[in-house]
Amino acid sequence: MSEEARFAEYIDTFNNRNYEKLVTYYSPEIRLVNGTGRELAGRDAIVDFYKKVNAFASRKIAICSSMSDGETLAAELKSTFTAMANAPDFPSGPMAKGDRLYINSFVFYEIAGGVYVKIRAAIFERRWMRAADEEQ
Amino acid sequence: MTKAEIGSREWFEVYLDAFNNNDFDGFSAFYAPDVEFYGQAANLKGPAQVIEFYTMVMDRIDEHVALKTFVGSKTNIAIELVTTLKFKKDWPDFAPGPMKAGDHREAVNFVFYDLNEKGLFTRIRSARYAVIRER
Repeated sequence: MSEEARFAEYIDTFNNRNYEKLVTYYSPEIRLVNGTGRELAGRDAIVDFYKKVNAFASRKIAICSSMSDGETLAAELKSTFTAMANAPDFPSGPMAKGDRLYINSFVFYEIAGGVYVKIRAAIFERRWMRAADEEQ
Repeated sequence: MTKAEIGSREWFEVYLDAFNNNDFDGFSAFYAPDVEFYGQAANLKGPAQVIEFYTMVMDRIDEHVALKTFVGSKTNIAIELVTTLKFKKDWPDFAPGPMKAGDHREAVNFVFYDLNEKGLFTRIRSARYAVIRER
């Protein structure tokens, strides 16, 4: 399987919140720096963080493009978060129920031994779609 | 331009060398006529706008980019760059924040390039990953 195909499976796993399978993509020493600059070290830290995020918001990630040389995979992702409840402590900023946050990000995944060892994301575009604005 | 394979690291380094040497003809030769540039400080369209912008920038700043991560193909390139800016003049309305002559700024950026069938850049988009040094 190509790295790009495996990456598509990984994102499906992420979108489906299949945490047991998700951690199999990560090295035990995985380090993930998300688009807000927050660093998560280890599989448990990543799962714990995204379980909390997913408790407040539904998140759908779409792959715009991905390519790999076998050691690194580069991807452009579009993520849409929809707040299912008020989330004043949401990592990217306070969200009210129904708010949507759209993020276009560039991400590098470093690969060793068939698993991701380091993931780093930078946000190219961040756009809020507030429920209150859409009601008007 | 270069005989290196389009989309290879060697080919891309020719572009960066031209940029680091203020070789406007050299680096703009990589741009398609309709190139779109979405940078940290400006959004530009066409080689002339990019050259005009960097002529202004290089009058105020010594800019050097160092290539770290590279993943490329004939249609897309994704890189990690460390950009070092040394301010030669005050720049009070510099987009990320006001800077003074003598200031240094160092940042890590992820930059994605789209290429056309001729191997020219049609779109350049830069996202800031981290600021290493602010002053």
